[in-house]
Amino acid sequence: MKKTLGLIFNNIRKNKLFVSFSIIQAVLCITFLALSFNYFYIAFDRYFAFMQSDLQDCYQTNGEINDISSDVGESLYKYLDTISDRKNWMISLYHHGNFEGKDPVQFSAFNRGLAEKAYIPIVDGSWFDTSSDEIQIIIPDQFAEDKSIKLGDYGKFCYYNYPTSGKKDISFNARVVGVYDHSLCTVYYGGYCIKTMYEGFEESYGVEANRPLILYIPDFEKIGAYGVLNSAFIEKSLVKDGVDLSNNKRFCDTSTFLDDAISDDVITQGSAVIAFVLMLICYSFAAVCSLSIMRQKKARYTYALYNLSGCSIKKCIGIELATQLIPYIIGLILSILVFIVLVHINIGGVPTICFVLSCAFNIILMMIVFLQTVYSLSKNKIINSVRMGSNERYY
Amino acid sequence: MKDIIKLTDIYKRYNSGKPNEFLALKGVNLNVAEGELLGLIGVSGSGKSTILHIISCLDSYESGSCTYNGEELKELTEKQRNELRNKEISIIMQDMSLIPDDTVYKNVSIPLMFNKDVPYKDVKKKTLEAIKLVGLNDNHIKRKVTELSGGQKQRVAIAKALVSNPKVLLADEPTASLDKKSSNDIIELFKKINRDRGLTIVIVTHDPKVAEQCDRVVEISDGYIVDN
Repeated sequence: MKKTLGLIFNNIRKNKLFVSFSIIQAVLCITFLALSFNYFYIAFDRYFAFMQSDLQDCYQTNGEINDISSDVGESLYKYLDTISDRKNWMISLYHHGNFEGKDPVQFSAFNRGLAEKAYIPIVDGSWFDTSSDEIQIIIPDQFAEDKSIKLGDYGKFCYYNYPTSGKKDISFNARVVGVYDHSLCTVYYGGYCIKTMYEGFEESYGVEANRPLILYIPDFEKIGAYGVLNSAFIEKSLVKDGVDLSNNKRFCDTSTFLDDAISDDVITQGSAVIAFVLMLICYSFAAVCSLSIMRQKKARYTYALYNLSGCSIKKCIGIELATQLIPYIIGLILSILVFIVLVHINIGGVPTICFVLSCAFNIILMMIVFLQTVYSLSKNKIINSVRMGSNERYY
Repeated sequence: MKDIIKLTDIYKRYNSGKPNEFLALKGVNLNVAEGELLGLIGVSGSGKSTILHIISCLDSYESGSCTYNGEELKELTEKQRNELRNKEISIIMQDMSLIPDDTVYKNVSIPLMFNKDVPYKDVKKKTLEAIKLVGLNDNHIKRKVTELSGGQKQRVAIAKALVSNPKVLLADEPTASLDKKSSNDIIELFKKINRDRGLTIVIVTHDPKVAEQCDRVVEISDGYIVDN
C-alpha cells in the first residue's frame, strides 16, 4: 500500500500545472469558508449588539403576562393582516410563560447566521421544555387544509432548520390556535416550508391560554439574520396586548440592521459568484491538463514502463485514476464542506447554488477523466506504447 | 548447463488478417543456457526484438513453444506473466525504458514498487545497491534522467533491470545510441554482471562488434535463425 501511494503521489507531484490549479481551487474553497464564517460572526455580533441596545428595552417592558383567550388564533390572524411588511416575517418561537426565571424568554428560529445559536437553549432543554410546555401555533391555511388540521387541534410538529440535511432540530407538541392566508407562504426555500413541520396530530383539545406560542411567518429568507428583531417585536406586541393583538403596532426601527444585512448579503453573494467562476476556471484548466493528448501519451508511456516492470494493467489504471482523480476529489470534498457550511448558516440561495453547480461540474469532469483514463490505458495501448519504444515522442 | 529459455518452432504474425499482415518469426528454434551471455544479431526488421518480446511475455505467438525453466509462457496467466517480468526476466528496451522527468532513484526503484517480496523499508537499500553496481555514484541518485549522458542513462536502465535480482536480462540494442567508448563500457558491464552474478543475458544488436563479445552469437534474418 505504501508503495502504491508513493507512486500515486509521485505521479501527482510531477503534474505541476494540475497541482497548481488544485491548490488554487483549495485556497478558493477555504477562503470562501472563511468568508462564510466571517459573515456568521458579523451577524452574531450584531445580534448581541441588539440585545444590549435600547431596542432591548422595549423588549423587556412587556409587562405582565396576560392570559390569551381561545380566540387568540383569530386575533393573531388579524394581527398579521395589519402588518404591512409581513412578507419579511419568519418563524418565531415564543415562550411567554414564566420559565426558570427567564421571563419572557424569546426564541427565534430565524434564518441564516443566528439560527444555530438561537436554537441552543431549545435543543439542550435548559430554557425550553417541549415535553411539558404546551406550544401554540398558527399555520398557513393551505397547510391546514392539506393535513386536515383544524383550529384547536393538538399534535406533533417538527421544525427543520436544515432541511437539506434532514436534521430535525426541534420537535414539539403544539396546539393550532390560528391559520393565516397560505399565500403568505411564498418562499419555499430549500424545503423550509411549513409543510415540513407537521408529523401528525394525535388528539384534539381546546385551546389553552398562557402557553408558549409558535408562529410561522413566511418569506423569512429575505430578512436574513435580522429576522430576530422582527420576531422580538411581534412577541412584544403579543405579550403587551394579550388578546387584542391587532391594536398593537409598536415597532422598533430595524431599517439600519436590514440595510446592513442586505449589503452583507450582496458582498457574500458576490464573493460566492466570483469564487464559483474562479473554481470553474480552475476545474476547466485541471481538466485540460488531465485530458491533454500530451499528458495521456506521457501517462501511457509511464504505465507501459510500469507494466514492463511487472505492474498489472488493472493496477496501472488504478494508479492513474487515483493520480488523476485525487485532486478533483479533494476539490469536491472542499466544495461539499463549503456547501454544508452554507446550508448550515443559511447564507442564501446564490452561494449555495454556485457551490452546487461547482460540485456538479467537478463530478462531470471526474467522470470524463475516469472514462478517458480507462480508455486511454486499455491494454493494447499500453503494450503498443512499450513496443513502439522511443520516449522522445512523449517528452 | 541446462537451458533456461527454449524457443521451439515459434511463429509470430503481426496484423493478422489485415492487408499489412506480416510474419515476423518463421519457425524460430533457440535455446539459451543458464548463465550464458548470448548475442542475437540481425538487421532491422529481422525479428530480433520480437523474440525478446515473446521471452518477456510482452507478446504472444501463433504456434510453437516458448518455455522458461520448463514452463510454457503461453499458458501463464496475466498475473504470472507480470510476476515473471518483475522477478525473473528483466528487459531493457531500445529506448532504455526510463521516465525522463523522474530521478535516477525513482526510475531504478520502479520494479521494487511492484515486488511484493520486497518490503517498503528495503526498497531504498536495494535501489542504492543496484545504482552502485552499475557504476553510478551518489551524485547521480537525485538527478533527473534527462540530465545524464547516453551511457549513464543506459547504466540506469541496467540498474533498473537488475534491482529485482532477476535470473535473465534481455537487452534490446543497448548500445545503439551510444558512442564507441560508452558502448564498450556498457558491454563490459554486461560481461561483468554475467561473470560475477551468473546472470543469463541476451543482447539483441545489429552491431557485429558488440555481438563478438558475447559467449555465443545467433544470427537471425527475415524471421529465421540463419546461424547459431
